[in-house]
Amino acid sequence: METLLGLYHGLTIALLPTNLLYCLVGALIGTLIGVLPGLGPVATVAMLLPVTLYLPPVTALIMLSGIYYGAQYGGSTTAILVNLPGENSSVVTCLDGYQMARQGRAGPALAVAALGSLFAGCVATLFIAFFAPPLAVLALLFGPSEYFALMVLGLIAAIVLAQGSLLKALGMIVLGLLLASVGTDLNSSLGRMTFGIPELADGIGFVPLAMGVFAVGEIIKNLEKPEERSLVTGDISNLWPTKDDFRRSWPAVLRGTALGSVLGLLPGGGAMLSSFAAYALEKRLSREPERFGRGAIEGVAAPESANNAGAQTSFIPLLTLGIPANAVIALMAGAMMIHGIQPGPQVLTKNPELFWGVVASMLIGNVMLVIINLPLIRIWVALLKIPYHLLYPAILVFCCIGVYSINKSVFEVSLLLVFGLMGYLFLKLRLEPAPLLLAFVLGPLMEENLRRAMVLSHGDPTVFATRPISAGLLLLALALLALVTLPIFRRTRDVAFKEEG
Amino acid sequence: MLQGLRLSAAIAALSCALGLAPAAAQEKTYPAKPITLVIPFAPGGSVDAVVRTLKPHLDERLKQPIVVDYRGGAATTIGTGVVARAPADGYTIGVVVDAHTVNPSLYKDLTYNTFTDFAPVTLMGTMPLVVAVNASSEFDTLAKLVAVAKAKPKALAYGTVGTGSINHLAVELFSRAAGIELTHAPYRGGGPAVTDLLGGHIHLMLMSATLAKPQIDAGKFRALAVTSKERLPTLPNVPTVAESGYPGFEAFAWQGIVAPAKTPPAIVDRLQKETKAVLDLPEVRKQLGELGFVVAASTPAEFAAFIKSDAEHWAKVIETANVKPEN
Repeated sequence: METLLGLYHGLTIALLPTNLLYCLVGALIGTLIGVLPGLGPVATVAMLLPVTLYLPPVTALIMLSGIYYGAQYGGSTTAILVNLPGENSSVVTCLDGYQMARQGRAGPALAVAALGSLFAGCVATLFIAFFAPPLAVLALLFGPSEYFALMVLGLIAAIVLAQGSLLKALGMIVLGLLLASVGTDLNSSLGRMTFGIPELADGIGFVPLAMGVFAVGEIIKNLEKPEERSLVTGDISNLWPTKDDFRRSWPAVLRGTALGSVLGLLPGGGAMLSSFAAYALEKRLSREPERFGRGAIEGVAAPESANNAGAQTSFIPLLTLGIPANAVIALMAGAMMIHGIQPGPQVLTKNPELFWGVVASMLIGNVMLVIINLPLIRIWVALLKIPYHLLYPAILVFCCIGVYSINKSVFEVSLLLVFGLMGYLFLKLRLEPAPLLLAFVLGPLMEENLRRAMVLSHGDPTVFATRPISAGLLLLALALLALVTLPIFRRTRDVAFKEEG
Repeated sequence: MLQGLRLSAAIAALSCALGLAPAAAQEKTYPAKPITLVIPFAPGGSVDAVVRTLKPHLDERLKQPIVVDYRGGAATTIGTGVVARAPADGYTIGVVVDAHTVNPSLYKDLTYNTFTDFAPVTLMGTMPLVVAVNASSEFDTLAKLVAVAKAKPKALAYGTVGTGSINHLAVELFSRAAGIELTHAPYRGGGPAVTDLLGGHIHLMLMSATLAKPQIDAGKFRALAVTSKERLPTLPNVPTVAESGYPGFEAFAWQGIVAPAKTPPAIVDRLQKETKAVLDLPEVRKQLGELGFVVAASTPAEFAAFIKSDAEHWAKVIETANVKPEN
């Protein structure tokens, strides 16, 4: 009852004309930067922070959160259309989304992504409204050993994710872990594989790596076939998902939403893990797993719902504990501090109008995003008809600007080039970049938490087995590993591989 | 070779002479264009909060906008390197923090010299640390914590934002003063460490008042002591470490402004004067106080002396506590 009153109170705040306007502004900016490769929400929110000084705190946070979840929407657009993951949560969307676009089904892919995100966003927002305080406690139960176990589970799920040979998938995971280990070691402050290059002291950036191996690699590969004039050869007749698409999508959306809502609570890899986990789950449950990676609509619906749900629930640690779950939310915590509101456990009691206003605005913002995005689908799809001697140089330029704008570092732009060549090599050798990227993101978290758990237990490895959550997750990982190595499962994998070859 | 040297010396002398003449004119009109202020962190941290508080007032006084340039990474050395290599014309200055004086003891291959490549402008202020424990823990005083740590060496673990960070070194300093041994658990940033202290996975942390205050107010953390010489106005009931039985103990994070070496002294003085005037504004003091920031403006000479003594102080702690990465 209290929650409903709060939500009602929040809606009266969020529906004020100024707040509606800034919600729309945030959603629009978010969509735009999501679509423009490399221009991430971190840089945008940082640039807009001074503007928020002149707004009331609720309005400021409504706009900033609009940018954040708007970017999740926009990010899926480039992932589907041109195989370009701007955010780590849209990496998985590339797998089937881009294949759908190549088959002339970009419209249904975009529509399902938008509708799935709307559903997930609304459910997750209600989830925040009803369960935020108890859920915050769940996040606290996760100590170093639990995080380590979760990351192990995530990496094993990455093997299921891969299309081709098990060995190649493992190889890519190891390569991802190796790339992730570049940089200053947290425990000793020693540089690892930095070769005295200061830009490598904080490790390799995710954006140059993801853009390089996905988009740039794909562009180079397409240069091999000069006869093709545009990305999509067939005609684009259907913009709207078919009945069959809807039938396949809705269970995937439900499962994705559930996974995303829970994993989004965990700071760090939560959002990315949720989209990978949702994809892996769909592939595992599907009666025709071989369709995945070749334009299965479930492969778009599930991760897109999961990452949007995760984006919403990742506000819970900030609003209830005062702990930002990622860089964008950290900036929002900064915005609160500028207005003299200390982000912390007391926000809910001391500034209820802020908590409920922002929560209610998320409901409105998600609806706005669909209203903005659905009519745009026609325009986005038309983009694909641009001949690629015009489209590809434009994408490359945007990628370079995007990568440069993150740290103003020319070095990272050259990294983009190197990873682009690497991506081309992967395509030629039929190696899958997705497990590599997952390992790249989860690897450091896994190492860090393993070492932390061992330090805190004074070198006693039994902590992983004696703590119930960690033991449960590790058992799950073991079960998954057994499934992967089961002969029947391996055979279907081989069949899928042969068909592809 | 020798000729080359002579030639380059001549060019240097010439450019110096050429540079000086317009410089005199420059100083009168300074600032004639926006001033870039390099923050050696990603946006959103405590330095950002301080700079955003000062910026509107500084813009007004300098009649030119301050443009904030975030160059985070590599323990502030990337951003500080940008300042070191910038033209010494007063149009690029940078914020430095406690890491600035710790870095020369931790890293052999800095791209600049901490002591000779900069013209210190002013110290802005200090941020004392709070010794915080989980409110549901048995530790209600610093003495009790020390007693448990003495009885069970290494049993208690503390979180930090990284090896060689100020909250790490401050704990090392305290451990030596109290004769105890604690286990170090480094984290990437304050957020995850606070989460683990809330969840009871670690036992204590020396953290900035900004991070600790909301949790203390909410009854989640207990503050056992503050590391400043005097009690903090925002936490008046919390004793200092010094008055808890460790006289003279002091440790704090700090923030200051530097310009590239060879920036004309008149420009450095102007920047110092305006920054000090802004720091002295009662509203600014109040806003910064809420961030746990104790305003402490200084002259350029005082700041230079402070950088030197602070670096020597931490060099000793790093040496005796054995936290050098080369080991």
